[in-house]
Amino acid sequence: MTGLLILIRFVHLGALTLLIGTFAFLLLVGRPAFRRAGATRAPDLERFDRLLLAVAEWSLLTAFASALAWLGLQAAIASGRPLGEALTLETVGTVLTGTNFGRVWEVRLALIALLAWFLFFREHEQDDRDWTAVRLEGVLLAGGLAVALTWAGHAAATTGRWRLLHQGSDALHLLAVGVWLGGLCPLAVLLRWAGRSPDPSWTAVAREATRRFSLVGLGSVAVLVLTGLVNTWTLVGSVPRLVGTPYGRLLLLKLALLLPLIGIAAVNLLRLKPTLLAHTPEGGAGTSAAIMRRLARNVIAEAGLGAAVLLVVGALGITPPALHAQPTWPFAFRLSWEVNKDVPGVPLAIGVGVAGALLGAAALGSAALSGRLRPWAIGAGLALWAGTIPVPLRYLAVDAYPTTYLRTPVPYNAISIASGQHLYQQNCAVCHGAGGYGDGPVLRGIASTRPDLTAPHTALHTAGDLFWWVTNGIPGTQMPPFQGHLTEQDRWDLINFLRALSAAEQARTLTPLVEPTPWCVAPDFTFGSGVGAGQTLKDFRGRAIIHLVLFTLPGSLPRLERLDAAAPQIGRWGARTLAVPMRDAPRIYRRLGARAATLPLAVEGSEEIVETYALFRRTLAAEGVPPVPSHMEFLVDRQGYLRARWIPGQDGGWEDLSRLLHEIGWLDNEAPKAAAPDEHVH
Amino acid sequence: MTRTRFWWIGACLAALLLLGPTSGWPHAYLVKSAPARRAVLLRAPTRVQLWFNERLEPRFSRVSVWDREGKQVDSGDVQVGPDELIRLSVGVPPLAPGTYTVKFRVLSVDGHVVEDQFPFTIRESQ
Ligand SMILES: [Cu+2]
Repeated sequence: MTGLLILIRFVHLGALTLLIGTFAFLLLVGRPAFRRAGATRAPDLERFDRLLLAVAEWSLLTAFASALAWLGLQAAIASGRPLGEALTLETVGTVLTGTNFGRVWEVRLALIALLAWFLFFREHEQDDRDWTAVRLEGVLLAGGLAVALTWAGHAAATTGRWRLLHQGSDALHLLAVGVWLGGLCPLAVLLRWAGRSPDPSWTAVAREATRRFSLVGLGSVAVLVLTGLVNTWTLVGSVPRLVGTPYGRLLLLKLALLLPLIGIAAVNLLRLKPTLLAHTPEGGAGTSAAIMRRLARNVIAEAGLGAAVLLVVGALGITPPALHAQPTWPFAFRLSWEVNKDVPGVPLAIGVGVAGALLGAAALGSAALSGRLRPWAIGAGLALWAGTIPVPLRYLAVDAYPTTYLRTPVPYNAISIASGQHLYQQNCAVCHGAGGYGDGPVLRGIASTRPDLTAPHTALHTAGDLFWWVTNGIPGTQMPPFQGHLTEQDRWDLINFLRALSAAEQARTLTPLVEPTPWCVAPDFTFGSGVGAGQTLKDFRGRAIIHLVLFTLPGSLPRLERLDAAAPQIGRWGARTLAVPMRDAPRIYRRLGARAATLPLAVEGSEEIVETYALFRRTLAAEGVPPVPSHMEFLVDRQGYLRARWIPGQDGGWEDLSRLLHEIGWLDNEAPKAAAPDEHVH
Repeated sequence: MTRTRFWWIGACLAALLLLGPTSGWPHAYLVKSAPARRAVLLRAPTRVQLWFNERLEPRFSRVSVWDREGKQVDSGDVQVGPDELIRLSVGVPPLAPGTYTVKFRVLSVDGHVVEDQFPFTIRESQ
């Protein structure tokens, strides 16, 4: 079904392109060219006009048929049934009337009907203005058909203020494709007719048409490049996704097809057009005809490449945008400035590389601009590049793996971290140590490297690197592969746990005083309180400061009662207290009874929340991993970062509620910052 | 006659483009759910609810709940919204302790289908 959908999209896009292109060509290139050549060519203009309108009629019929086929396929996709079963009046009708796609299709089918009416039942055109009006209508309606297509696909791939930019650029992109690629066929026809005719005034028509179309083409290519960049930025966004996802690779294929296309266009523009314009119509009709035939051949080649590009576009439209896909890194290394910036010699190497690249570019540029082939300049340029560019690359290269740029597909939340902790104790602690310091019984006697898993996660390795090592092991070390032993989800759970462990080690610096710079993302969790089901910590981002209280009965009871009484004061600063029982969650309501009755409790999910947040008990005062305290309190700011922590007995603590309120007030006064990073993958 | 018609068409198209539908991401993804993915619950839920990042097509969005033996246990009253068109839910009768699987297949307003499943567990009460 995918292949069929690509084919149908290709046919539909091709028909739209021809439709826009023929009308635009008549208006912008065809008629002005005939006009310039003098009134004697009027019969030819009529013949040309008739031919192009016939092309437009066939394109419209094709667009109509492919739109219907597309609708049928969408019915199959939406209902999840095979094509044969989905093509019932009921299913197709439901898609057409009951979905967003269907409503867009209603509009587009109406536009097709309107255009068909104008094309097939043309009135007699009394003057020039009527002639122009009909063809302008054609451009408008065909353009509308193309633009409306962007409502039903990936086009609206952005939210908020970027949406309009992206949708607009997508629409402009399609229109420019139509004007340029769609105009190539009419141009080829015109050049062929001119090349065959002995009449010298045909040469004048061809010249003028070539001159005008090169302007139209330049403008269109400029629009295509600009809007293409915008689209790439919004749908791809990074190099790993460009080279590592199907969407990115299709985009590269499209570029690879576009480069020769633009190359041919450049030859036409820079070589053939000036020669054609230099010939006077009176003398040398023979050479003009030859040039026109060459031009026509080139234009046909361009159109063929353009059709291949449209086929790729047809596939692109049904591929998930790279931004939402997991990239597979194809190289054994990656370049990292972060990792290598302190290595001696790196700035020098980069200097050499940049200087060489610039000099090489200058040599190649001078060879290109001189207009003649200069082998020595080209050779020198290429040699400079080959000699200097690899120098900084070698210095900046870091080992990389296919999974290096994977984003964690399992969210960084309490369920995953708690599960990762269990897996860690079962599989990893024996070597890496219960606390992650690399002091497990097996590795203790070995003098080789014992990685400290609590070390900060630097630019040195990504989550994807960790995933690769856990999956495949590390050759030459004791680290075994866990691929057959742990599921993919297990391995990501382990990595989420390691991330939390390392964050907890860095977060030893947390105190009851709010840390001025946010950096430690509070692990997310879902909780069921008495009222709302399925609330998450993230739901409060941008809304409230969360005062998270992990408590144990009966010791924490007086504290809970005081917090309950202080809830209105805490709420005045835009904060909320959320209490999580550390033990005995199922019976917590019974045990609390009427005491601290208005305090929101996280009962469902409390076990994982406690396991996760207990990781954050490491302090600067205590060496290693202290035992789990029976009571802990945290402040999570509006961006989702852990900012302060109090464990009873710590200096400057929150026994005194005014101290807690002071810290909450400090957070409340803070200027809004960017939200904590959000990793979503599916 | 042709000329006035042209202006009408231009104006209508411009209006249409300005009022064109808006949509979010190219395809829906599950933002959160109740019960959460892989949650271990103390009490059985009365409804399974899923929240997505963009609006769903109610006519083509389904969710179901299955027990360990592969028997469908939900009550079949699948609903999108009604308050927010990003929420899909289905009722469940009082469930016995055990592990259940939530399966969903949704069509979002951009015409793309997303299909997935996840488990949750109801714990034995002590
Ligand atoms: Cu996405």
